[in-house]
Amino acid sequence: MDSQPFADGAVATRPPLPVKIVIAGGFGVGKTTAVSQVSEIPVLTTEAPMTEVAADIDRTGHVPAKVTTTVALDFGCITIDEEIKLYLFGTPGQDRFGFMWRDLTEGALGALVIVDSRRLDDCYAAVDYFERADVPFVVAVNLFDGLLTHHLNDVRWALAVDEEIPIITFDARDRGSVLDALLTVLHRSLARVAG
Amino acid sequence: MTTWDGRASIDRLTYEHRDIVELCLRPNSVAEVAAHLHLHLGVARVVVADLVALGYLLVRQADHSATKEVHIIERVIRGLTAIR
Repeated sequence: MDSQPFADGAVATRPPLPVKIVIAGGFGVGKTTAVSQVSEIPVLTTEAPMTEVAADIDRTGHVPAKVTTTVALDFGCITIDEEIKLYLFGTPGQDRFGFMWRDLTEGALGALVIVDSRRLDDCYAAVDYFERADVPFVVAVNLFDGLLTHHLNDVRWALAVDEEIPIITFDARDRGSVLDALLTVLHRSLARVAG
Repeated sequence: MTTWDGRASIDRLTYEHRDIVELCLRPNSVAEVAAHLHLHLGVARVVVADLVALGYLLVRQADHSATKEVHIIERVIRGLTAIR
C-alpha cells in the first residue's frame, strides 16, 4: 500500500502556507457579501448543529479539537501565489459567538470589523475582543445605499476606539472596495510586525 | 492531499469519493473541499475522514509559524494589489 502523498509534477506536496484574515460583524452588516465578492470559491456558509458523527471525527485528531454545537461562519479563500493562500473567516460579532473568536483569530494576520453605522452596538463585542487580544484590526463602515449616516469621527467616539486604529468606509458589494479594506488590514499588520 | 494509492484508485471511486480525491491532487483544505462540492462542512469532514481511513488521502496540519513574517505579509499585499 502506498500512502505517500502524490506529487503532481512541479506542484509541491507541501500544503500552501495559510494566512488568515478574520471578518467580524453582526448579522446583516454585509459580512457574507464582502467575503463572497473576493473569494475565488463559492462561499461556505455554515449554521448547523453538529451530529454524533462529527463528534467522532473530532476525536480522530484530524480537525482542531473544538467541540461546538453550532457553527456559524463564512469561509472564503484567495490564492496569492503557488505557496500562499489567504483564507477569510467571517464570524458574527455577537457575544454569544465569542467562544469561536479565539480559535479563529489564532495566527490571524488581522481583522476587519464591519459596522453598520445605524446599528453600532452590534460590533462592540468584536472591537473589544480584538483590542484585548492584540490583533491588528480595522473598523470598516459599510455604506448602505452609498450613504454615511454618521460622521466617521462620531463612529470613532461611539466605539471608543483608539486614534491609531483606522476607521474606513467601504461598500461590501464592490469587489475593489473590499480588497482595499483587506489591504488596509494588511498594512496595519505589516506596521505592527515591522514595529 | 491525495496519496499515490488514492490516485491509482480514482477510476474505481464514485461520486463524492472520486470528486474529493481528484480535488486533492493539489493540497486543499477540508473547508475548500466542502465549498467546491457544495457539501455541508460536517459532511465533507466525515467523507474526508473515510478517505483517510482508506489510505487515499493524507491530512496534514498546516504550518502557521511563518505567517507573521514581514516578507509573507508583503507578498500577500502584492498578491491582493495585483488582482485589485
